[in-house]
Amino acid sequence: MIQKINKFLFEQTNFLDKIRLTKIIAIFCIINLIVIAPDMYEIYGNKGLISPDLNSYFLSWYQPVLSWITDVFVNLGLSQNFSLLLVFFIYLVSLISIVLGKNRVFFSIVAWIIHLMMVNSSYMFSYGADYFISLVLFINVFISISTVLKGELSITIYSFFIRFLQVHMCLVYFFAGFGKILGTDWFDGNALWLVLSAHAPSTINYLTPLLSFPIIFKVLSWSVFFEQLVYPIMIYVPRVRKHMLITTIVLHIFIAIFMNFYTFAGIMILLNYVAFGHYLHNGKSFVIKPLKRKFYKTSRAT
Amino acid sequence: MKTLKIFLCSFLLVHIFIILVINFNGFKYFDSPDYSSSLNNFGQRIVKNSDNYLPSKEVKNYFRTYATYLGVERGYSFFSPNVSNSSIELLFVDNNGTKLEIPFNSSESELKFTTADSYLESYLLGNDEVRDRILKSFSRWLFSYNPDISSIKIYLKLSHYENIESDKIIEEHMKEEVFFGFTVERNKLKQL
Repeated sequence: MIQKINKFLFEQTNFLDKIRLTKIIAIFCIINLIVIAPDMYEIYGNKGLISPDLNSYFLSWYQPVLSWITDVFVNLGLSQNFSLLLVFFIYLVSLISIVLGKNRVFFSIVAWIIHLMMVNSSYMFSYGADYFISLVLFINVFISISTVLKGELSITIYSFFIRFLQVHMCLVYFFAGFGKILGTDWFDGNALWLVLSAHAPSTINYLTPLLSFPIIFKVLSWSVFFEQLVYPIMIYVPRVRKHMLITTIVLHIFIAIFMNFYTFAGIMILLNYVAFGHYLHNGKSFVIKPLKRKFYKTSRAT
Repeated sequence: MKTLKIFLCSFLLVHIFIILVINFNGFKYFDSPDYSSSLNNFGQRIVKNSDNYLPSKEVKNYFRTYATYLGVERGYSFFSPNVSNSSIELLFVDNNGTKLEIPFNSSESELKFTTADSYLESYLLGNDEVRDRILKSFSRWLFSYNPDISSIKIYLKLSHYENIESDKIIEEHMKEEVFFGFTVERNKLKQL
């Protein structure tokens, strides 16, 4: 038993290339930064929509905020806005350095802390996607550490933190599904209709004809929570895990398209890729492989 | 190496425990008049007993410190146990009757602002102090962005969505109502 746990947690070597993962994570964060940068003074600034006084109401003293750094720059004579710009620049430089492989460990720690400060400094503006970005940057610190370590220690650290993320993702999907089965909306199909009404009003006109067939909404709602509830088990079953990963990614693509939650969908796909992306390269699939075999047989015959 | 492995295993176990506590703690919020009527039998049983699985408040505070640093402090029961059939949006109108827009440059920023709106929704009736702080903060920004205006009227746009089984759904899937909420004088919040 102990040997099995040891092998599962610490001795896996078939995960994705660690350097490639750190680069993908950093590139995702650069894109996220580019998207929010034009509104950074409104979202994070001292004179932004959320005043520091209001923001502090939701925080505890130990939660780092951007003003811990900007106040130092302000004391040196820089303006508040320029100080904020400077912190964003440090964040951007850190992410670029991770991509280029320069002092990867140091800059991954800097990127994680600054992002944490960004989330805390705009507590009311932060939603699920921001918290998941914080998590992936935390994991990125340890992936980066494993890139500079050698031999067994490197494998131990890398293997453990990928497994850590895998277990975390299982908990995320389990609770996402479990919460849904406590109510009634996800059973009668109402949930899907209400989500689309609130978040994708432009699609409603196209969907209205489908209201004559409520079973469609029911089946789709059931499939959402079923997918989430069985994820922790199915993602480890060799014959279906690749299929599970692909359907989960498809679910997030639909979330991006229909609900306009692009960053949320993107980070969830990224987290799935970091945790289980190796299935796409060397996993078994009960659908794809037989199809491939059939295809080869047919091509040989012709 | 053995010590490191024991440490990492303990870390994973503690992490799993903290995530379980955070998420079961989140179910406690379903035990309110807003939610309880729409819980199914299984849901009512889980929510009623959720307190039994949880450690004391002091212990939870330690967990929160850990959770905030990892970005795992909020539970994962997205759109649960049901999906709200209404939403609130703030509308700002100046003393000349012109609608004031917050000129966000990306849809991501707009989405973030919607998150802030949802905070207001939860504090609108229950906590006057937080509600006033939120409105004061937004208004302060609007006054500095529009230096010529002297007052802002804040309206609440309530969107109500029909249920899928409603008879009215084909003709009208959504109803919107606009309520006058508050007036904010420059540098002074005044509730009407």
